Amino acid sequence: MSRYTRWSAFREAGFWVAAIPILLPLYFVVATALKPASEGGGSYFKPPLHPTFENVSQAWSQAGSGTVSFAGALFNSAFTTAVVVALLIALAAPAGYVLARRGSKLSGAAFGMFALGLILPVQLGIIPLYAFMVEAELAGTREGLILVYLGMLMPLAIFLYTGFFRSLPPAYEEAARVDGASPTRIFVTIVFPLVRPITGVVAILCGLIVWNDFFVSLVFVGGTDKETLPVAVYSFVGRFSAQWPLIFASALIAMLPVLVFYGFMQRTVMRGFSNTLRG
Amino acid sequence: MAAVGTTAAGRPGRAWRRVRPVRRVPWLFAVPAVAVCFGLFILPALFGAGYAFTNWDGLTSPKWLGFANFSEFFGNSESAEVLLHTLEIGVAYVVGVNLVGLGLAVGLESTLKSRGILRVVFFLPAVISPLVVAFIWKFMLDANGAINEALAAIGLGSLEKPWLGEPTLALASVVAVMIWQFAGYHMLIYSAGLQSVQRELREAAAVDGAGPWRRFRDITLPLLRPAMTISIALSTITSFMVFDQVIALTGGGPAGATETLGTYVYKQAFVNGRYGYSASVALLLVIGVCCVAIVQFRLLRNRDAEAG
Repeated sequence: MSRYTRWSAFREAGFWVAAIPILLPLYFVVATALKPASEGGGSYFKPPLHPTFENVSQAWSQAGSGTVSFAGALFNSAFTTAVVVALLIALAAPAGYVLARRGSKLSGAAFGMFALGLILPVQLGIIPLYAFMVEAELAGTREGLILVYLGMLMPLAIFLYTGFFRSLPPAYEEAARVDGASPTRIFVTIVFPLVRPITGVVAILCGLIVWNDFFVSLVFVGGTDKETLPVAVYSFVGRFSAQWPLIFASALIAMLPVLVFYGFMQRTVMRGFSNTLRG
Repeated sequence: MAAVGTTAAGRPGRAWRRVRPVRRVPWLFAVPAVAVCFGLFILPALFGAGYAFTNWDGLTSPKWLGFANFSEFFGNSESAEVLLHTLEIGVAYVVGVNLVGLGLAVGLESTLKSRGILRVVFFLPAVISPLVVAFIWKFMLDANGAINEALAAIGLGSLEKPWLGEPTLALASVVAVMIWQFAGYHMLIYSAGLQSVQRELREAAAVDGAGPWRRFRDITLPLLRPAMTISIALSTITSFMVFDQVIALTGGGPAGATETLGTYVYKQAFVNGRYGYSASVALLLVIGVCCVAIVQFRLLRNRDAEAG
């Protein structure tokens, strides 16, 4: 069973064949985006003979929906993702700590609310939330978008933190407590550094969700200069339909940061995703 | 805690005041997170559930309609189509993505030398934006796209199809793209489950003369049940809420053939301005998702009871 036989080699080859449909579409993106206009019209499978960045730079300076450039959308995505992740960690970590350490009925009720939030789709609340954002003059702003993501991802972040804190023995905190340290100090200097692994998981998962999200961004900042990358790609495709070299250049801009990140951190990312399944 | 109690008893007053305030984690720590989650997520959802019973259009003040929105949804043929497409996508996606995910997990579990890198490759589509993935596939599936070109090149020109231009094919294409993107994620779920199926157990069965299929059916599969429960529940929820892929691949077309609950809710609200009606459909969606989640929790609890 654990020997490497001819059958294993055969299966290994089979899986690499199965991997072709996974890698081929990504090849098309890169090949088409880097193909100069002079080589257009030929087979899609042919690699670019003289790769060029002219499509990429054209897409880069083109406005997505007439209001934001790809450079701008890239900044919007990066800024929104970074702020959401930072605030999520700052708010969810202490909350998860309380829920895990206080076994009272009230914390049970709070945990129930977050569990409900885990399965509640955004669609139901999105219209009242949009109306509220319009009222508060936050619709179409980065601040508004960040607030929506915060509310939406808080249940997941708290769920992950609470599960992790529950498995963390309270011995260190109790020692510090006997020494007279304040709860805030205990949390900041002792507890928070101990849960770094789960902070990484929260950052990766929630960061990817925000970076890749289309629906919420479309509703709250669509058509403004605060659009994130997926919405910019969407309106870009609307304007340049079937101009695949340009569209794929924009897809490349949107994917590349995630792919580079995944390339360096594959194990961590995959572990993060399996982590959500426990608890 | 016991030690603190003795100190307090030994030196009442000052020591008590010094120790007492730090005895527990203060509730204050949870207040900002609870406020954000409640105010920006739960409360709007509750309002949404309320608007489901009104004719709110976002401009004039809403009028109470009772269950009229719901009877409209179940009474007209357009929304019946939408519901049917969502269920068709759901069944095809849940079966497909779980079979592929399970196959990848089981196949990559044992002795293969490059299984680490293969897992990385198969999971890769899951980290890309679903919208971008859908546009890549729109190019592949185009009538003049890469798939038809490849079919013609290998002499199978007769199989060339307008993949996104014909109702049944378009629906199948949406499902195929979803499976392409998320099979690797479900592979991860099953791989995690397989790790808990002890290798010794299967090796012992092999020594006892059980063939590969019997080992899979009688040992691996029953022990994979928890992973399967989670995987099926997650894929069901994903398919109920599908939006990005449909909007990007077909926009709901051709002729409404791929309209789903997710796109219907969006269009009713943001294209037709029928917020109340849209909210009632969203509420039905939530009820569907909750039913799936409840069944999942019940099955998991049964598993825990068995294990305990």
